[in-house]
Amino acid sequence: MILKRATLLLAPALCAVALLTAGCGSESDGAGPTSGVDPNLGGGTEWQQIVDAANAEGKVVLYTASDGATTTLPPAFAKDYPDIELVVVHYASGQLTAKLDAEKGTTSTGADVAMASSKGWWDSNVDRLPEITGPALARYWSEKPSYVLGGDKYVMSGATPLGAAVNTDRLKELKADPITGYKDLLQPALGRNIGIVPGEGSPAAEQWWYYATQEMGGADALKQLASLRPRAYENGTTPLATDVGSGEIAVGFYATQSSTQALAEQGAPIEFVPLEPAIAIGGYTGIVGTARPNAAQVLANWLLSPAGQVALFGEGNAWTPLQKAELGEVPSTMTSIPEDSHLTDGVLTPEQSAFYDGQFLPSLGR
Amino acid sequence: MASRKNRRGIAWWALVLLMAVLILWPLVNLEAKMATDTGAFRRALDYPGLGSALVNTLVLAVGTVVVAVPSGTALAWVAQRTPPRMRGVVAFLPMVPLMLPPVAKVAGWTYLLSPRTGVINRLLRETGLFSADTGPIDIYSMTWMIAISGITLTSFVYLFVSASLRQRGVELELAASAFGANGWQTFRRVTLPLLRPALTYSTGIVFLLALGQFTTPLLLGGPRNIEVISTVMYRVASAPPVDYAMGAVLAVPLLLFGVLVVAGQRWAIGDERRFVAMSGPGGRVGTRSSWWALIPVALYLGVAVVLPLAALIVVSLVPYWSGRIDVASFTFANWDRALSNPTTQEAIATTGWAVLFTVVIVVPVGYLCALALVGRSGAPRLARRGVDLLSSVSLSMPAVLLGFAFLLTYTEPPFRLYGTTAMVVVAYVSLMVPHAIRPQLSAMMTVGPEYAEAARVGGAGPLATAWRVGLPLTRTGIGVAASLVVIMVVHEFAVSLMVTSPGRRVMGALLYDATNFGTAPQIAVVALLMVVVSSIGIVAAVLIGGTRSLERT
Repeated sequence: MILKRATLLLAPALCAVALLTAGCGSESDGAGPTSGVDPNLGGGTEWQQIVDAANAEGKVVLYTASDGATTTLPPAFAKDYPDIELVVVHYASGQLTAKLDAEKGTTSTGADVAMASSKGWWDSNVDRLPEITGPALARYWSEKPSYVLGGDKYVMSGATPLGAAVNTDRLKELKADPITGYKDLLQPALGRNIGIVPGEGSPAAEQWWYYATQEMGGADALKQLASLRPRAYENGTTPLATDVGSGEIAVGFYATQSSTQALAEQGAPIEFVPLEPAIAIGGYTGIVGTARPNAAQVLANWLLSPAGQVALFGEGNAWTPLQKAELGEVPSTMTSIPEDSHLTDGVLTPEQSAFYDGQFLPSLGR
Repeated sequence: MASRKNRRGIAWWALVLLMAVLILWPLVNLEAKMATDTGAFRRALDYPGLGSALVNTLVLAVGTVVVAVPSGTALAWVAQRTPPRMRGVVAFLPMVPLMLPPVAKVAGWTYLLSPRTGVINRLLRETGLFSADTGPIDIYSMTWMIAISGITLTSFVYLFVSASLRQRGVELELAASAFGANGWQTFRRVTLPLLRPALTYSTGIVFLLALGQFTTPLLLGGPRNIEVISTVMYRVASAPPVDYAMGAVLAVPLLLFGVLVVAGQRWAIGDERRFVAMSGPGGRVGTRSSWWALIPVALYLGVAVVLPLAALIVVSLVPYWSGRIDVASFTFANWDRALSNPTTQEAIATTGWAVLFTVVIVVPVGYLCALALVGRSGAPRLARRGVDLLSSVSLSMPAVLLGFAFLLTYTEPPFRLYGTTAMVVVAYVSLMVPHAIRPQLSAMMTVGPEYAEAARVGGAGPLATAWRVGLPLTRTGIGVAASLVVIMVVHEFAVSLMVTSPGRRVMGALLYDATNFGTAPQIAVVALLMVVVSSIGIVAAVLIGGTRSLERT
């Protein structure tokens, strides 16, 4: 009996060892497009000393709210800086800034660089942030003064357009019209088949819903949306896309291209529909930690250089603030921020706050 | 002589101080925020949906008790009536669900009971009895949240009630029958009163666990806006700038309930000696056994473990989850990706270290606390009371509340531990102390003082007595404590989310990341990895405590 029990108990352990062994040596996938442009271009001996010191530090940590960055950025960064390990940690927007607040003043660990969507957070912390000193800022961003903020301390480094994730099979079954614009979400045929990410706690997401509701038709449209009983996905865009992909719901609003694309590649009947006019979440990059100051400078510089911009936006899931011509050879899928798009900055006006707390959340029964 | 006594007294007071620093200080620190911020009450009262969150918290807790207490008691009763040669194995089976992390169970049930794509819902609709294109079961409803947390916590009730049933034997029931009492009369007048301490204790524990539960409402309540206090607190902790003072106000109802339940338990049980009915070695002789008794146990195991585990295994092997099982599409790619991911490897390693450090610290601390509580150690009476009270405080506080308090306390001076493994370990030790005390205390109570006295008469000092007599005799209790701590630390979720940082992520936090940013197969893989890691930990704990610790876990 004891032997049998021991065998039963050891079985999972043996399975784990086998699985761990199977996992070893496999190549990590997810490497995205890379740029051939040297990220250190324009840097003098002083910059080279920073790079050498960064190599000695050996590691750098980036917090981001962007889908896909955890897999695409490290291999691209390693190509340019093989001696510095890049650790990318993905948080939801609200959690990300809460973590940064918790780490204030700590020196041993945490984020060195962050990409966060709330300009309000950057503004309120600007006094303690170091300037970005790498050559990329002067070389590529000097013509974009509206993107370089807080006295070179943080930069609006990209924007993620959000749209609709559509399960093409379910849409046909429901005999609903194709989704092309914001108002298409309000079709009665989609009742109990819609999912949304309310984005509570993320000012940029709250702004997104303010603009999107205006495009849908205002307060009346919100009532119509509520009558369709949308399911709230508080955990973000990936669970939303997962349920659209499985057919649990037919349409998801506030979806990202990267999360839908990953499922489509696996064969799920899902597609991303960009909506016109585009509403995009602006992302801000800056140095937030003091544990590895040189590696943080190198990473911030890399993210602002063509190398980082191509790694971040080469697949076309999000947009670069720079013009493609400035970046050398780039993939055809890469897109610059369109001029007619709404960009959120995460600084809510009183009107936007009143809308979100007084109309949007109550309409969802919250 | 007097100075030796004083020195010993100081040592016991040092233990009380250690527990106070670990458990009480973070809570006092949190509630002090409330006292210094006069606007916190107003902000909490103005928090949207606070009233419905309070009502939902109570409904969920009471509903869970209503499901779990009768189910666990019935399960314990039938497990005693299985054929004697199977009883040892069968008695262990209802505790297997404890080895499955709550997040894994909830994820598994989601794949089975999602309104449209859930496998069971699909099968039910295919019977033709249900006309709608969704349901008939909606896992995102309060009813099913209660059902799932009730099923999950049934094992806890079973744990306490079955131990009580084993201990008391059947002699009194046989005597009642001999005097003409029918089955119902025997149950009402003999069995039930004797089970009162176990039922009171398990009802209180289940109520508190249900009151502070976080996983089920977080993952299942969100889509239908069903908030409870713990999820509201988590939202407060996730929204910058973190409003600790308002969080402290929100914690007050949970604190009050915790204190009331512990006080109520003590009042209801009173003097435990009134319920003692020790059975001799032949105590089970005369129990009527039947193969039919296996059916409820098997059903429970099927519902609580086999179904969600099977769902997780299937989902972990598909490229994407569509609600349909297509064996031809099965692949190990999800496993390969997860295991080759450095974040997963680091989380497994951090969990392993955190478990090891926690067990190494908390089991001896629990042993010392149990030694103080057992009353033969010479610990001053007030120090004994202090240990008892502090361990009850930790037990009665919901994990999410403690997590919130730890986050506040250890991200500020003087103990700025955020971002270190030390913070994770300190948080786990604080949480696990009561769980490490109880099994060791039980083991000490059954041993009695005679062996230690004999050793002392034979000239052994206190240390030699503890090392050569006390420890070997309580080895099973130590093993049980270690097993419990391993299971609970690996499965810990609410506190881990708040206290872990990059590079120090544990598997609970990794699973939460997967639920936020991962696809269904990725969630399933991480959940199954947690099952594997906790199984390895349990094997190690069993090696320490011997196989009997497994039966007694």
